[in-house]
Amino acid sequence: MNIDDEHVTALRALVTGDDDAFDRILDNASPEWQDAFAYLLGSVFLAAVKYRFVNTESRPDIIRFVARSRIRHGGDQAGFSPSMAEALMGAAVGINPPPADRSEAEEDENAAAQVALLKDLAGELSYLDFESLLKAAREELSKLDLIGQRNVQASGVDDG
Amino acid sequence: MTTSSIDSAVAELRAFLTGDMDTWRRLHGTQDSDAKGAFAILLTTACSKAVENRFGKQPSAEDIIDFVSDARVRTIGPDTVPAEDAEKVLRATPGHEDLLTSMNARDRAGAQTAMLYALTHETDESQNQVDDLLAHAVEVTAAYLRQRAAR
Repeated sequence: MNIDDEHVTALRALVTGDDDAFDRILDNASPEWQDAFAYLLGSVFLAAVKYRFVNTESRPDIIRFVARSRIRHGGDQAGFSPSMAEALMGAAVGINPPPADRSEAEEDENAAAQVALLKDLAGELSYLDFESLLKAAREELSKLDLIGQRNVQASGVDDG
Repeated sequence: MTTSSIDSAVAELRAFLTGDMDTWRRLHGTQDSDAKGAFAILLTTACSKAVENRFGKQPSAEDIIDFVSDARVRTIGPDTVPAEDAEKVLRATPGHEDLLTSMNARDRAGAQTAMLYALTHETDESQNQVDDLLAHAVEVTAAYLRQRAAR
């Protein structure tokens, strides 16, 4: 999984609401690129939730944050349920396990929730704090990529 | 369904809303099917009236989302009822009753009970409305049951 500059540009566009720029990048993106983007989005989301809600005592704050976010993103037309959004944020700070075995529709809802919530989380951060989270997430994913490559090499799969 | 079914339903709902849990448990455990039916109608009627008192005839999605999140944090607890169900019963104003029919009876009753409790415990003054709410609900429930019996 290679996270390139364009992934980062796309994520910035998504979070700042520059939909045209985001769509332009996505229109020409390969499925592999999109998979890597989903990983980056997930990692930054996780980091932003952890940054905002520091521990498992944060449940009331999460409930209120999700409510405000849904109101900002169209109320009951926001495209994601409060239970899904709270479970996503709760999983990030260890309140509940991550949701498992999601259907395709739930995956779509999950993505919609991540994007909307991340926009609002980022909105509360300074430019530097957000860039710092983004950089850390990119580095973390690159490390995973390196580990994956080493494991493949160690298992001899790429030796042909 | 008889007048005593309504009386029993009112006593049960009043006990719940005023925090008399011993009475509530005793009545809740001894309801026959008539009393259960009367309780469901009474609960829906009281909830609907409490929603109108709090939000007006056409509550906004924003007000409802805000109220439910606040109730889950301050009054009823985060896991008593899913926010989706709680919001549905508050949005089920006249013309939007399909929101209730899309829920199963157990979830609907759970969400209505929790929201009615939250609406009557939002502020110190909120509890004063319990008697008025129940009086209104008895009137509407009795009229509904009379109409149904005459069919």
